Amino acid sequence: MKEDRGLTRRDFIRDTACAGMGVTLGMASAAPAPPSGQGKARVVVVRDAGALDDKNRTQSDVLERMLAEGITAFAGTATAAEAWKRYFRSDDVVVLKSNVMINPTRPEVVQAIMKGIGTVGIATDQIRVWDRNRGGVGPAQADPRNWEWTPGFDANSVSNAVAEATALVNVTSLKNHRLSGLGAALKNWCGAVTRINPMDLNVAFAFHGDSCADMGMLNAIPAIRKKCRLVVVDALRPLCNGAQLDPRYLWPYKGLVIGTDPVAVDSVCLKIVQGRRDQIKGGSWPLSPPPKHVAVAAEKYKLGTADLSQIEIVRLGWEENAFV
Amino acid sequence: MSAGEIPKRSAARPAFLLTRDLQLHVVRSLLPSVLVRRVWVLSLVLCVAVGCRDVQQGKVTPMETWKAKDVLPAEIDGRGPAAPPEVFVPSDLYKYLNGGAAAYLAYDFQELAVASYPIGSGNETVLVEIYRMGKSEDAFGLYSDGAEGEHPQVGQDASYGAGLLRFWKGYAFVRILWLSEESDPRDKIVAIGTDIDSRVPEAGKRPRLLRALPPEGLVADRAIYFHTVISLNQLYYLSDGNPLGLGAQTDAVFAEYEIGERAPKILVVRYTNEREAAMAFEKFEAVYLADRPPDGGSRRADDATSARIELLEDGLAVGMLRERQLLALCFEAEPIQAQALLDKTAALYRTEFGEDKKAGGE
Repeated sequence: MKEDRGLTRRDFIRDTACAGMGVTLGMASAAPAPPSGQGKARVVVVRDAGALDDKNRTQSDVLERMLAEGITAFAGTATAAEAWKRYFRSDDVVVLKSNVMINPTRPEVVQAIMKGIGTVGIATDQIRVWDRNRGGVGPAQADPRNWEWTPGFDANSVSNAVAEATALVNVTSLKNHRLSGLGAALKNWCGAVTRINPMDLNVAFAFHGDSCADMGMLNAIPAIRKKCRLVVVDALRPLCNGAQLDPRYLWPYKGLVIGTDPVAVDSVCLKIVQGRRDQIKGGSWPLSPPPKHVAVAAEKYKLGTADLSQIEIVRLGWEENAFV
Repeated sequence: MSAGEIPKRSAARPAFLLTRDLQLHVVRSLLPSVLVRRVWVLSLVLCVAVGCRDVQQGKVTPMETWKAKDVLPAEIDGRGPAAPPEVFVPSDLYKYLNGGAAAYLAYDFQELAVASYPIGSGNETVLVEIYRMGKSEDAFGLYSDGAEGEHPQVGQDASYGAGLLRFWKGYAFVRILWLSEESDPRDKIVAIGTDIDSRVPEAGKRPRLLRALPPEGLVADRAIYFHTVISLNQLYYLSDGNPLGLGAQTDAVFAEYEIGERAPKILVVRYTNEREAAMAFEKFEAVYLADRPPDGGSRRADDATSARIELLEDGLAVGMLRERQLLALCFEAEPIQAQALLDKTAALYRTEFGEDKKAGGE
């Protein structure tokens, strides 16, 4: 970041050109090594042309197969059952942080993850899902229309769902966002806290300024950072433009993006959304505002890597217009 | 929609006046001339009285006081809303739109009424959103960002694509989203829009600043009216912070052009006074061209105006022009294109706002 006068469009264009489309504002080279210190951050992009039908309805059997293949490839195990055991124990209370706003996470994705986690031996009522102050318990309540749980918030304005969980799963959807440029893994935690507003007036977490550059502060909340064991982004039908749901800019990518490093996941998601925007325009159509929070999450909050050269992207399945 | 275009429909008067006008015309053509004046006066009194009664009964509402909820359809395809309509005001709009609310609050948003109507036999619905704004210009502003697509004759401007109809009329911005598996709901959704259009009280004004845009090369549907830096960042991010000093009181238009092989962009801002415009010019110059101090050749300035064309590292120019309350910026253009676009913008602005280059502004 330019310390004295901030980042300008010129910096963005110049740095991106120098970095060979480094995607995350060209600041990626300054990002630290992956948190594990064991090489590149792995992100799996799994797609299947049959994941949605011609009316964009989720094909649950295909989706569950995609998820199994994806988690297996991500964990590097022989089977999906082994992969789930890599991240969850039978005595865990697992809470999925979903997203119900503007192109919400599909209930079928939540349900598939709940089923997968259930193979570890966790009781159905110990696997939950929530966003903001509503949620559901078990796969039968994967759909927000069936949510009956109201977890509430603690004195620090963080959802009680976080405290009640021994393990969290970040299950979000992929979209362009008018305040932050990108809505994916890092942004999803906005629905885990209360007392926030876009003007940052009298708030518990002031992150909206400068195009939400400090969004990473939410992922850096100790309980969230410590407990979040998996990130799954619903990229079945992402939104590449718009402040609201606009079907003109939804497209059937038919994918899931899986990882544990939220910054790496967002960097890959960013490349996918940017690819679609450029495809629509037949040239460069940069996300606006630029999603600074991805690079800032790496640099300032040390939440992961934004440097694509330090991310191992594992592509599985359908390859047409993958953009990564 | 092009700059300075006359609205598709003339400012419509309330229906009751049109009806009475027609009746008067018939009466006057039939009655002997000696009675005409008395009848005309009597009828006028009757019109006013009936009109006032209609307003009181909610049949006709002045555009400043109508409620978004009243514009919602009672039924669609013979079926009412699946749940009672919801109304959101600025303080709770986030409950409906979360982060998306900021895009609406950046304009003079007053209230939103939302209803979802069941259609078909399954869980399919059509979602209707009525946004009532404090100014017709701001209803246009919301519409203008995303106006691409087919343009059916609904409201003052409408765009349709992929099951989404958006239109504006008067103080209203309306979105109708068809959430069904029907392959081509276009005609049905336009019919719903036309029905809603008939209940929005009056047509409204477009932003005057649109008339400062040079029409040659202007890309259709890409002239967007706004006020704040949040909106600008969504359209064309320039820098951190708010060096242009944009806010609720500034009027701004961002427009895209196609000229030759280039795709220049113009940002036109009208400030409430000259001092703010001059400060914005200097701050933006300091931030955006920090590595290019003015050398005297690229910049010219006097009390009323400042101008600069600077070739950047990508081989394209940024152009800046400040004249009285006007600040115009041009990006991604050849230097000569930037100069021409800014000069034309300033000339059109002078014509529209009467801020003579030497005589001073408002």
